[in-house]
Amino acid sequence: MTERGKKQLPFRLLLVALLFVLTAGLGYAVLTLPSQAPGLSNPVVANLEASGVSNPVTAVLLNFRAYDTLLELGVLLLALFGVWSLAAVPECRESPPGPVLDGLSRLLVPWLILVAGYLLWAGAHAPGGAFQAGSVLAAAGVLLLLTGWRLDTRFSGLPLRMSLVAGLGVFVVVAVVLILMGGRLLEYPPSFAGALILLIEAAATLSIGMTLAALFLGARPEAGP
Amino acid sequence: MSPAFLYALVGVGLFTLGLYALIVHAHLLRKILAINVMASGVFLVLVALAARTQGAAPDPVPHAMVITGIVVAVSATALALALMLRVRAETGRAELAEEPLE
Amino acid sequence: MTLLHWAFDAVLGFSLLWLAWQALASPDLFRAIVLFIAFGLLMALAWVRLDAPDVALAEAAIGAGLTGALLLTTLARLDKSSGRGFGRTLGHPSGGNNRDVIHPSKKETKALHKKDTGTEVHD
Repeated sequence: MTERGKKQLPFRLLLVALLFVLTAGLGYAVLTLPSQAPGLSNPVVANLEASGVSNPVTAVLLNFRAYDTLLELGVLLLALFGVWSLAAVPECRESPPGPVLDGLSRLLVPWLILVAGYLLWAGAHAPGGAFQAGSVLAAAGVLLLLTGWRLDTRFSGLPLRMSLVAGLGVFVVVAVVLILMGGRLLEYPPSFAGALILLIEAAATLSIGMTLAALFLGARPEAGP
Repeated sequence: MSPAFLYALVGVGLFTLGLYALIVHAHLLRKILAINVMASGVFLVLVALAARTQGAAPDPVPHAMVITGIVVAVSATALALALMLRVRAETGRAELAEEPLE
Repeated sequence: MTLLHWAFDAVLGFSLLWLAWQALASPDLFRAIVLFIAFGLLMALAWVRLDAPDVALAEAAIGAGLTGALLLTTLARLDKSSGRGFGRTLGHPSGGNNRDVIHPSKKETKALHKKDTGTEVHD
């Protein structure tokens, strides 16, 4: 600690004092909340029958508050656009993978894809769903990228971009079709709500997995000829 | 007082801990870590307060919001890290200047 | 049984705060990131205790796995570019900010020290 450190000390103490007040205030606010508050769980349970799935969290994510999820897929895509437009990331020359990483990735990637499929299917009635499946898929992608695997240039143009926007695209198409059929925004008819949710989730899983893996890679892959 | 409130208080603590680190550290990677800790604190408060149902299943709406939030947080982190690498490439340092660069 | 639950919750809450503090205060960036990954794993445990298995799954895959991988790769790129960026700053006047040219010696020692330990230097 030199001169500047000493000069900073009063500010540091003031900061700690202010943050202490903030913590005390927030803690007081939390503790004075009523100890029993069911929130929105009763309406969710009451309408679960009509939602097409039996896992309440999936029902909220893809039916009751589906527009949140729709916008969230948009946010993911925007973040990827941001990363790609900053393409000045130095290409990291990784050393070739050791035998352990190489063998492990061969062993794990098929399993991870299988687990992603299971989570997607199980999301209708048990913990799981598009986000969990998508992130497991992304983990498989990251593992592949770490071993030095790169997408073939044949697929890094249009096919890659199609898979990145598939989730948002399918979601928007479903929303527009439902409006044209006379419903309201993302109001699924109960008879085929389950099928629609599975369709949207499948596309969203692919998009989330590809987007997160692309975010990990950083730079924009060059499109092939 | 129930375990839910204990976790909510831990969430408040994480939030202010992250805020403190966000203010005092100059290195951008530390600031990104601090923002992530703050986000975890907010999520913890949300989910803890959703568990205030006597014995019944907790409120699923905050759970769905937190799942969305976790995915948004990771994409925002990726964008922030890319921005940090760009700052590094442009200025040669990954820290905020303590006094303005002329 | 309830007492055991309370003890577990208290230990978990304390560990979360302690790990977060260690991750944010650790002088070594690599150590900070590894502690942050451990923090993410404990968060997944907290979600399970709060009856939120959906959130726990998402956190385990994203908070602990993907965020950690992202942070570690970025740290590797940062270290790599610090070696290169340093040379470029001195070689091309356009490549860096003016301060490096005005105070080369002070900046040099700072940058070298930073490269060795990855720590912040308070002056």
